[in-house]
Amino acid sequence: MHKAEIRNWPRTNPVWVFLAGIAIVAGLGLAWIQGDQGGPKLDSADTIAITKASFLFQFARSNDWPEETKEGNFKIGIHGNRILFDFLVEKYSSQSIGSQMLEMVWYEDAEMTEFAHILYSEAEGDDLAVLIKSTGNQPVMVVTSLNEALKMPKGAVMNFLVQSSKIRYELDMDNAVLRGLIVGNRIMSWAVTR
Amino acid sequence: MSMHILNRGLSFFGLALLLSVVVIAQPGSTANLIDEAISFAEAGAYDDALKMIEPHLENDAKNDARAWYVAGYAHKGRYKDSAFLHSSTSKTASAERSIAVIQLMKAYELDKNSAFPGVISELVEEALDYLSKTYMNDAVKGVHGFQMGMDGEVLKYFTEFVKIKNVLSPDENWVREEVELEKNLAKANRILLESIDLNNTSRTQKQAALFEKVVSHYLRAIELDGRDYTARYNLAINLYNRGVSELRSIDHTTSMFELMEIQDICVLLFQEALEPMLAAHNMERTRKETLKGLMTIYRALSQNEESEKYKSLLEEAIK
Repeated sequence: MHKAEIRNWPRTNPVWVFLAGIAIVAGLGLAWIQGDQGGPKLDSADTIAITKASFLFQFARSNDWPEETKEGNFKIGIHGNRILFDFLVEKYSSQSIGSQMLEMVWYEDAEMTEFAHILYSEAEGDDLAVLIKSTGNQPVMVVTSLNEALKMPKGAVMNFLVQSSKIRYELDMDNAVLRGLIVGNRIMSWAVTR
Repeated sequence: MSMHILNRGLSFFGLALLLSVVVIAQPGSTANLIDEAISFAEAGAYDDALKMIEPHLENDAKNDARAWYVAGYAHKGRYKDSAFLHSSTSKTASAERSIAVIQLMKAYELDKNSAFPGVISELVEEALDYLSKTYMNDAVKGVHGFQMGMDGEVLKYFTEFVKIKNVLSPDENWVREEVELEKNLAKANRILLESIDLNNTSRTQKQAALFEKVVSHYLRAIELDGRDYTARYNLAINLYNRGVSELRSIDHTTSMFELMEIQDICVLLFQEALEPMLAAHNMERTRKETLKGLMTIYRALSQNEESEKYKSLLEEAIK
């Protein structure tokens, strides 16, 4: 009966055309479903740079600087990590800190050629020592990124380190005071010790 | 060719056997009612056929394979009409198809256990095979035009497909197809997830629900096939990318507390991504995308030595 019915249907019957369509798609169905084409692409963003940039913005927002530095732009200087610099520019350059517009400054060499409220560097050893020396006793929040094996250098106020795969920071309160910086309560409360 | 001739021969034999009952049927008897229902069904008068046959399915024709077949055939016909007018997944079409499958299965079971099995079974097989394909077709269409929350519906169509196929060919295995379906559902959910604006906080719940589906479909695919590389690799990438997208959502409105919280979530996702990525790497140790994945995940976890190790392996693989 089933076959007889199919055999007797005229080819111009719209139902026949519809069913033929179903049969073709169904036949292709199994083939189509094979393979997960167009899979996800790995997001190659530098997650460490994003995290550190986010912290630097928090440092800028939650600490306080002496009155004489509250004119002109609020500057975050970066040395040694172009990706971090680019990310800061892309994400935060339109923001302001209090009444000051945020400005990112790139330092090619290990020397603070123009004043920055925050100076971040990934340098180590002599380069870092030269860079820190170039800041003198100015109210610059020097932020370094030295691993646990190295001691936080003299003159640095903050240092990024890794704890349980997370980026954290340690704080040298004495250096902050020496530089005339007022560390915010939130920043203080999240600081870690080794 | 010879099989075709044999099939046609069997089919004619089947029809002849069906008609032979017509010859000996007495007016008013069950056999006569079935034959009348066949005539209606053949003419496309499915409603009339069902009106005639269905009242008898629970009584005098309850053990008659022909009666169940005719009823199933008529419901199949109504399904086709409804699918043509509306869609194969419309409420009416779905109901007709479900009933058709139940009745055809019953006919199949009765015929297999009868004294002369074969004729009805062959006709039932053809009808069920057709219906199974419509289920698979709906599963494929469901993935193709996927919308949020359709997962269950698509899987149900596939389950129905397998249920029928298991009756028709018990030795066949559909695990490979199920794995692919799960992976395609994961992908469909991911595409929806990626289309949502990450900075729109009102959509956070939607994002979380879609991401949960992506993960669960890949986990199911892995559960079904322990040797599937793609499911593991894609699961790892989805977990990792989710962590990165959380980080990307940080902006000037993010508080210090939120920043810490987001970092915790990210690290957890990166750690979760590591296991399937390592498993994928163990399956294909020189595959470049896995080496790159491991290099990236370890770096995100600040495990620089491990990251460098996979970077070197990647450089070697590229040479």
